[in-house]
Amino acid sequence: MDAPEVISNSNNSLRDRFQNFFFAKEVPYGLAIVRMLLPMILLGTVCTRWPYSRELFSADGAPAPLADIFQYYDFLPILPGTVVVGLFAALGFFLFCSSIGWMTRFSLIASTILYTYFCFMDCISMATKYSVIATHAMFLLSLSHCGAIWSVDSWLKGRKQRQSWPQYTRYELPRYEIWPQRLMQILICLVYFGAAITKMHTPGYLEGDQISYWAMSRYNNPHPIGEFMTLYPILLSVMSYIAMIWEIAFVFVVWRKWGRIIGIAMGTAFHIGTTFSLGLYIFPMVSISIYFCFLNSEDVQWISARVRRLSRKGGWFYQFATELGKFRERLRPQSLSVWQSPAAWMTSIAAVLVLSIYVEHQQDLYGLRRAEGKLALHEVDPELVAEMMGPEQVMRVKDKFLAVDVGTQMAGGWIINRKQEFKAGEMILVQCALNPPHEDIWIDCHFCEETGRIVQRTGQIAARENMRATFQIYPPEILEPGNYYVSIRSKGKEVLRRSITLLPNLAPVAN
Amino acid sequence: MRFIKRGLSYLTIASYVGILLFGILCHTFTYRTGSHPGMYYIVWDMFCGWSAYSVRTHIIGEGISGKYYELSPGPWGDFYPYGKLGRRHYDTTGDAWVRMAMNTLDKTEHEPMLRILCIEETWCKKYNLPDMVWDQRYEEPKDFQNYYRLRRVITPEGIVAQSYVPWLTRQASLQLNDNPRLIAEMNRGRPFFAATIGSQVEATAPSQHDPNLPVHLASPVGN
Repeated sequence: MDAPEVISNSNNSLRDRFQNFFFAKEVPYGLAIVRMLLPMILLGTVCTRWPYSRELFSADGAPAPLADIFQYYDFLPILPGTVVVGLFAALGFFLFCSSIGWMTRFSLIASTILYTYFCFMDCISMATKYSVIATHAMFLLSLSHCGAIWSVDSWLKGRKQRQSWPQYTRYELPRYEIWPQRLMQILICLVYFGAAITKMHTPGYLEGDQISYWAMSRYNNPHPIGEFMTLYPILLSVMSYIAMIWEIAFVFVVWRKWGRIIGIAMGTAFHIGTTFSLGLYIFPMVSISIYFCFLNSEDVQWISARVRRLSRKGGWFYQFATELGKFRERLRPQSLSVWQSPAAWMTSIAAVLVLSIYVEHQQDLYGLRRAEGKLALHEVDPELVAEMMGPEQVMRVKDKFLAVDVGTQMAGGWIINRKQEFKAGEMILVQCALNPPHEDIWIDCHFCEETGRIVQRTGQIAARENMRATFQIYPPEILEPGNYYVSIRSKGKEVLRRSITLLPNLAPVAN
Repeated sequence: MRFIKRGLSYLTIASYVGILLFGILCHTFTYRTGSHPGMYYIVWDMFCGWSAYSVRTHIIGEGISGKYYELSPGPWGDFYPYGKLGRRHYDTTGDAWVRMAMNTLDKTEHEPMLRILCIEETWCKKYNLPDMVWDQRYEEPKDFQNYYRLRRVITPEGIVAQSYVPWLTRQASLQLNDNPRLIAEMNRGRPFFAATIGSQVEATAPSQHDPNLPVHLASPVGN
């Protein structure tokens, strides 16, 4: 057996590959960026909820424990209002410290525990899938050495070490086993894979119906592009296919250089797209921030080399960076005992707790300490009450129909060339989209003259599981050019109408 | 020490990846996905499907004077978690309605209440489209209609006295029941369970069809 063969075999064994994959040592650049971004995003969600924390999470409000939905009552203790207010503010402080990397490990562990607890306490407005992904990521960050670089901890540590280390080690950054970063990458892959499974389970997803209804809903932030895209359901269908294929393929392609670049670029575009089309804000921010765990040492070296080259070209930038570095060095404490940073951190926590409880007490959310006494209830308009308390309402026929479209070509189950003008003798496709739920329903399609006289009548049964019914109309060539309309009728009533203009057929006449 | 550390790393990797894969498998085969709150953290059902109807929630209290009062949001204001909708509208299961109502009653000045009503408001989502988009796809003007349905009646002490299915479920049920053949077969096969002990359990017991023995039938309410 020759030497190269031995080397080759030992390097490619499954064990070695596993070792290299999980236990190779790298500078934790990627996780450091995730650590800086993710807690800052979560801090935003904590800040908006803090004034209402007593109401949302405490026994002095109206919490909605997640475990109750799973019939695990009293799964976690519901804490008193004042305790919750303090702890929620502390969560904000821990997230901030995690982001800047001050007492990083402890801050991350405390953030993970408190964030998970508060998500469990309010499944209505705190626990969502982005908070679940964020919890996983925070947990993995707390296992990692993400605070070893680009952090307050490393900044404080740097001074002491730099005095004792030789000059050549000055730019050597610490390296650690990469497995927490790998676990975060695996998490992202499996999240996408699971999301693809969900889409497979969801009827009407690939046809674009589900996305269309989501784009019509107002549960999230404004999304005018999504509303506009409901006019083109075939586009939504194509995008649904692409999204699902990408989610499945992600786990297979992301481990190679170009696969990683393409996968992450598509992911970023996809998540930014959900902001404009579906009104999601926090979810894309969380998803894109954890993408940085795919960043490795080579990427950072490549980027930093280009930045250095650029900064040399732009003198002002180089000067600014140098000045900033000097300023940072001036701020760095000359000598710091081991206990001083933890002590300052503990003192800050105490200050945050006391201050938050005091401010919230002054704020008096429920108005219980007002001079005028407790707040009075708002009376509901009696007319609205009468409307709400009226007899049972049955779904109108017209609400079972979404829209009617007219065209000549179909793809993916949708009319793709919606138009109004047709030539006599040309086949006209009329598609009627239905809203679920509907019963097995007979639909009439009347092709009428402008005066209302029926020229052609057709009809079909739309079974309850069908979301669309398509009719073919062949206007005879003997029809006069002019204005006509298609009338969709159900149970003897017109529910939708679409105007049509018949143009003269100018086909060449044989001599 | 190094071996212990490496062993712990192996254990963490194996446990974490194992838990994630368990979640994926449970989700794929719909196995015990609702068995424990922890499943929410490993089942990635981010897109569970969206209805064709928008739903909103009203929680009101009926005072002894006959006046009705808004119990959610409380008079101190509403929290808007994800957009311009108040928190109560995201409670699709209605599990927190009692807590919301009781919290408001507890913190406010009001006359004694007779009952608390949770009412669902529903409308077809196509009417949410802005006019610019509507005009491009529809020739008819918007003919918006709300549907209201009483979902829950709660006593002033916070006990759920009556509970009803959502309006959409009710409509689907009405559409399904609009079939005389199905109704006839359903009535013939009406489910029951016997309150008396059967012969399979106790050999000495008399036959269940003994005319001298009363048979207690208990059918599900509303069937």
